[in-house]
Amino acid sequence: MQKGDLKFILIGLLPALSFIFPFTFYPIAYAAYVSSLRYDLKYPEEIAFAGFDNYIEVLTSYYMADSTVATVTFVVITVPLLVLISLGLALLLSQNFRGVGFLQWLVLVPWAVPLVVSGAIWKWIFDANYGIFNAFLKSLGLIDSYVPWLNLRWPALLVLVVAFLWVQLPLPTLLFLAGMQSIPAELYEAATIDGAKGWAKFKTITLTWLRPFMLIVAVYSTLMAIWTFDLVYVITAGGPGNFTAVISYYTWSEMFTFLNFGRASALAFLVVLVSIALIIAYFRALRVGRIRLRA
Amino acid sequence: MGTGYRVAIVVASVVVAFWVLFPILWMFSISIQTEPEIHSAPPSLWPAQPNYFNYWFIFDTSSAIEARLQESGRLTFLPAVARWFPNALVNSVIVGLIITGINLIAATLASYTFTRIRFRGSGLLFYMSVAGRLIPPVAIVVPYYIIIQNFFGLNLLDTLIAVILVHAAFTLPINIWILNTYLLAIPSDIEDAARVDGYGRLETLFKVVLPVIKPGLVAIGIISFMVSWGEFFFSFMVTQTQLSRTLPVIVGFMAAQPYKPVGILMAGGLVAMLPALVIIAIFRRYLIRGLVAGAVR
Repeated sequence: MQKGDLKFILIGLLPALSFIFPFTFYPIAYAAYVSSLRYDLKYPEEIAFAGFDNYIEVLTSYYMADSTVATVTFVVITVPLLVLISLGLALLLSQNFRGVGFLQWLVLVPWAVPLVVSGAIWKWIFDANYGIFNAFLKSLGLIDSYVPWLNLRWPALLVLVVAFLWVQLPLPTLLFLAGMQSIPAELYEAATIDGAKGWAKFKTITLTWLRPFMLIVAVYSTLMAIWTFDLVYVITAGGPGNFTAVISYYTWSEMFTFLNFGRASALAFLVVLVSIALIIAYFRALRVGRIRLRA
Repeated sequence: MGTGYRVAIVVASVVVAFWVLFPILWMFSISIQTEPEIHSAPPSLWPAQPNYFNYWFIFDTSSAIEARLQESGRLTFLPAVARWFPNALVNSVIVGLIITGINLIAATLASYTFTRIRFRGSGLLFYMSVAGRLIPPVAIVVPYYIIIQNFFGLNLLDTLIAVILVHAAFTLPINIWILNTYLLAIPSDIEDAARVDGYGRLETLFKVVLPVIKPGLVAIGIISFMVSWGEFFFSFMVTQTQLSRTLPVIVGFMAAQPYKPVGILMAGGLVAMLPALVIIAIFRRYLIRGLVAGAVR
């Protein structure tokens, strides 16, 4: 550290950290605190310390098993799809052909659509009475009468998956694309001289180089999939039955429907623990020993 | 390259274009239909007579309602909240631009400090500043509300400042992370030379570093704007009257009406996405180059 650096550290960090820290640590501390309280807004006079009661209640609740299954199903279907499709898209968009610039723009378009609206349009496409999907299948003769897709368990889940992919693909694709474009051309030239063919080149150079990006995309899409609430809320509202009621849907219900802030916070903290465990698992699996976040 | 390759490219491009465009075009088609047309089976792919009432409605609600009344003599249910659409558009632009500005200044200063100055606790501070993004939004929305209600003695609920504070806290960590990786990939030799020549830290940052990391700056600028432009949940929680609400919130309200005017919702959604689309179109190149230093093509 040189003379005057201390002053610069203050100048450099104060603006950013004074936005970030109050909105990071106070909320976390508050949520942790509330998760240890009996805190039910319906009985505001009974707020009291409850230890781990909320956690136990949440873990043994009637919805725990079903919502875990729903969440795991959703994550297991969407995350691999998101990673593979965005990788494929980036591969297409990194080719050199006429109109590739336009296509790169096009892929980012869903990013600009407000989430409520993208949820609404997908819901409308698969609507039981006026949906174009039904009309299309019927005109092909594949179905005799309109099917209420959103009232059927797996179809409803698949509609959610489609909407989720449509909404979430832009950012991972962008990351992979940027990653691919940072691969030095010499690597490919050297491989060509060594006699490597398309697939071998892709496997040894592209995929290896993209490993840190793979990590970011895997972490990002897993978090997004675990936290998916808006789409579920707009498209299926957890139904049919509770088939698509994922954990974050119950976190919301506990908080804003049942007004039980204690249980909602406990549930949220359980989700955080699982997220952290998954992130560590990804680091292990992809063997990106130490991703360089900083010097 | 062979014909097979070319055919594959064309087929893939068409599939991708269809996948992205179909819902958007369908939105547009619905937005120029009347509600009876929208609620008919089978749906018409394209209305025989395009009707721009829905657009008129979101931009000039009162006169559109009046015209509808005179025309049919009765009022079907229409979401009056659409009256606030133009106001929300302005709010969203203001918030988006300020968030972009805050990120450009604060994230640049922070990443420069994190990557170029070695000091004890720098790593810890960095991890502390990105850690907040591991918490599911629904868990922290209530504490956010409490902070905004009493922000160092001020009640900021229902002000644009509240929305700005929340969005800044949301965007800064990710942008600092992106800029950090960007800066780390750039050798600091030139900066060291400048320092030897007697430049101060700030001078080095402005005259030497900024020109080099320009693509990175554009990338984080766009990401900030886009995140702020689309954010619904927190903007909804910290605002109370329509006056301070942003576009996604107003559009969300239109979607939450008991009788859902699908056409108006789609029109609102399309208008809401236009500015963002233009921005991506202009800055696309930078966006890709700016995410990773060394991405040059």
